[in-house]
Formats: sequence, structure tokens, C-alpha cells
Amino acid sequence: MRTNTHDSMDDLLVKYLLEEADAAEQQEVIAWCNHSRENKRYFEQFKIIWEQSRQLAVTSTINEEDAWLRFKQGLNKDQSSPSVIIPMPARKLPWLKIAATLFFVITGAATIYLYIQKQQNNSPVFVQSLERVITDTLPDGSIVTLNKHSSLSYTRKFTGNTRDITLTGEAFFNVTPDKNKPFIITANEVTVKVVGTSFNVKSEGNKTEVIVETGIVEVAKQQKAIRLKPHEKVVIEQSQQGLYKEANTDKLYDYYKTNVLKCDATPLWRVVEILNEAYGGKRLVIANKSIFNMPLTTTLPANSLETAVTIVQKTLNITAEKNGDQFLLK
Amino acid sequence: MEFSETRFTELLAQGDEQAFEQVFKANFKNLHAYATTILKNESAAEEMVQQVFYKIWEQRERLNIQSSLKAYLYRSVHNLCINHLTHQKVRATHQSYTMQHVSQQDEHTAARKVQQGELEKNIRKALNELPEQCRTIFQMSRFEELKYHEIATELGISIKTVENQMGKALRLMRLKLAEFLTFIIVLLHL
Repeated sequence: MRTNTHDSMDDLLVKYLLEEADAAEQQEVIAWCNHSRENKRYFEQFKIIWEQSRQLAVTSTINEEDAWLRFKQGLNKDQSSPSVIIPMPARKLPWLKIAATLFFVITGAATIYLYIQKQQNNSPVFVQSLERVITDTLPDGSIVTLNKHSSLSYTRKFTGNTRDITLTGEAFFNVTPDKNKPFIITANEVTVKVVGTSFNVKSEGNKTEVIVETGIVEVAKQQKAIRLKPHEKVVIEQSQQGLYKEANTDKLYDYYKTNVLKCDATPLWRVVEILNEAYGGKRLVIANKSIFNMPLTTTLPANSLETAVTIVQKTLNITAEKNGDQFLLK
Repeated sequence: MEFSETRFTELLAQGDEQAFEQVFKANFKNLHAYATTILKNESAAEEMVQQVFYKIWEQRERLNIQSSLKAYLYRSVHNLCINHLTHQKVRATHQSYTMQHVSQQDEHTAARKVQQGELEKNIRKALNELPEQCRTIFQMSRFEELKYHEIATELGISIKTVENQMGKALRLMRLKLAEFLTFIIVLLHL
């Protein structure tokens, strides 16, 4: 059996090991260790355990925001399936009692059912695209194409006076017309309001970009608002005060929806920028300054980088050198 | 922003989702790492931590946290994980990695590298067999790399208690690993 003094020696040894001991305590530990080989070995063993246990350390890669969303989803799921307890009828019950019981059970169940139905209609739906592009139909029939690493949320049944969507990342919307129920998208601090049209919204970091394909879109930030017509776009920085529209010069923004990049006298740097975005990472690098602004008119696939590079190479008559995962354009 | 414990239970009893969300997000990562060291499985670990928060939310109106909130969270995660392991063990003994009896030395595997892997396995086993408070404090000190006084504040206990618990943790682990450690030391000194 160990003695109490031994226990407190353990505390001290560990304290020393963890560099929590003061000068006097350090002296004490050193003296104790020098006292005998056994003591030294004893301390040595503590040290091994302490050092080796470091190997067990785990760094959690989990994202608390995502975990929180999963938590809320779990909560909603549970609310929709409560257990209804129906009492077993005792023998020889008068019919009136049975009827009364049944009446209460049925009304109760119906109330719960209607309540849940209502809850469900109002409960939020969360869609996340992760590594792939997904197309989703919203409750009003509008179609959304969500780019990779984007997410949106909305209420299950657009019950209010508006159709509200929250977006992070990038999406192309084709909105079903409904004049009485405007379709409102919030991305960063920017609100996009439409009645029925198709357009692209991209939010990354502090920047939000809206490009209109058909119809009229109203873009608002705080008190300010502007109207965009087809082939117009607006880029809004978080710190920015006013809203200014500009002409949208290329049709590259919806590559993730169409799976092709339509280049129309597009400068090479812009093509490279979009290809890098589509394939993820710095896959293409322009290694020759003189070809930087070369205009390119062609259609490139958004699902095969090799093919896209070959087409660029042949159309512009330049060379592409493969360097591991990267292509150097010269 | 941190809440005082009583404030949090008060807010929670009123069904304040924001307060709950804050506590959830502030602690999720560390608790997840804790559960993962015990279970050695990230998704099972997340499930455990989610369950702990789920229970807190469910019982928000009659939640009675005697100790500090952190201590309560760590204790709940620890207990749930150990429970999970025991269940697994009952279901399929061979599948449970951590609670398994692993100290049978194989004469053929005397290679040092293998030995170190074995040591790691044994340390994990010894670690998981520590009493809850001991295990939690060890977690915070070793893996979250907190100082004694920080652990004391987080858990609402005295620095002396942290010292005692850390001494106890190493003492218990050394006892469990004793046989194995003599072997290792000989090996390392060869």
C-alpha cells in the first residue's frame, strides 16, 4: 500500500513534469530523483506516460456551425414523431366510456397531428451542396442550382407573405412568377427581391455578386436599392456604401448549371480564373505574359479539365505543360 | 461571451435558444476531441456530444447543474462515451478496440516500433479506465494544453484539486502500465 507522503510526491512529480512547479518544488523533485535509482526510474516512467500520451491527441476538424445545424435538424425530426400512448381498455367497460375515450384519443391525436403539420410547414429546410452541384425545386416550383460548397435555407412551405431564402455561396435561381408573394434572397447583408425571373447570386467572404438573366431584380442593402435588368450585374462589398450596376460582359457565371463555359472574346486570364474556380485550386497558371489578354471564343466543358486545356491550347495555338496537378500555359 | 452558470440555467429554463446555441458552439470542438480520444471514432464521437446537448435541451426546464457548466458537459460526454464502449463490448467483444485486453505480449513483435504502437494502445486503455474527474482534468491538461489554474477556473475547483487529480491520473496509469513500462524501458535502453 502506498503512503500519503508518496501520493503527494506523485502530485509534485507531475507538477514538475508539466512545468507548473516553483523553484523550491523543482529542487525537491531533483533531490528526490537523485536519491536512488529506483526513484529516478519511477519519475522516468511518469515521463514516458506523459510524453507518449501526446500521441493520442485528437484535433477535432468539426465545424461548430455545421454541428449546430445538424443538432437543429435532429430536434425537428424528433418533434415530428412523438409517441402517442393509447390506453388498453379494461374488460367490461360500458360502451359510453369507450366511446368517450375514443373520442378524446382521436381528437387528441388529430390536434397533435395538425399541430405537427403546422410546425413542419414552418420548420426550416437546409440544403448544403458540399462537393457537388445540386439542383433543387423549392416548394413554390422555383428551381435552384446550387454550386459546390454552398448552402441555402428556407421554410418548408413558404407560409408567410413572402418567399424567403438565405444563401451562402453561389446559386442560380429560376423563380416561378407570383406577384403576390415576392421571392426574397438574403446573402451577406444584401437582399435580392424578385417576382419571377432568373438570375445568379454569388456570395463569398464580404463580396456579393448578382447577375440577371431574365426579368427584373431588385437588389437592396440597408436603405439603398437598385433595379437590375437582363445582362446587368452588381457587385457589393460589405464596407461599400452605394450600389452601382454594370454591364455583365461574359456568360461564364452559370457554368456549374450548364456544365459548359461559353467564352465570347473572353480574355484568357478570365477563362483561367473561372476554370480554376470550377475545378478547385490553382490548376491553371499563365506562365507567359504576352498571352494574358488573348481573347478566346469557344465553348469549354466544365467537367473535364484535360479536354478544356486541349481546346484552349488548340484554339489559341499556345502550349500547355503538365506539371503534376497543374497546367502551365505558355 | 461567457455566462455564469446560474445565469445560463436561468436562460435555458426560459427556453433561450440563443444562450444555448452559444454554449453549444463554444464547447463543441473540445468536447468532440474528448469523445474522439475515448472512442477513436469521429462520427460516433459527434453523436455522443450531440446527444449530451440534446438531453440538456430536452431537460432545460428542470436542469440542475450542481458543479460548473464545463464540468457538467465533460462529465456527461465522458459517461456517455464509456457507456457506449461498454455496450459495444457486450455486443461484439472483438470490435471494441479500447476496452479490450491488449497487454498480452507477443514474442515475435519485439520490434521497437510495434512496441510503441502497443504502448499507445495500452495508454489509451489505461486512460479510459481513469475515474471521470481524473480523466477530464487529464484531457484538459494534456490535449487542450491548459495550465493548472485555467483548469481550476473552468471546472470551478481549486488548483490543489487539479494537482491531486493529475498526480492520481499518472499514478493510476503507471500502476496499470507497470509491467509494460519495465519492458519498454529495457527496450529503449538497449
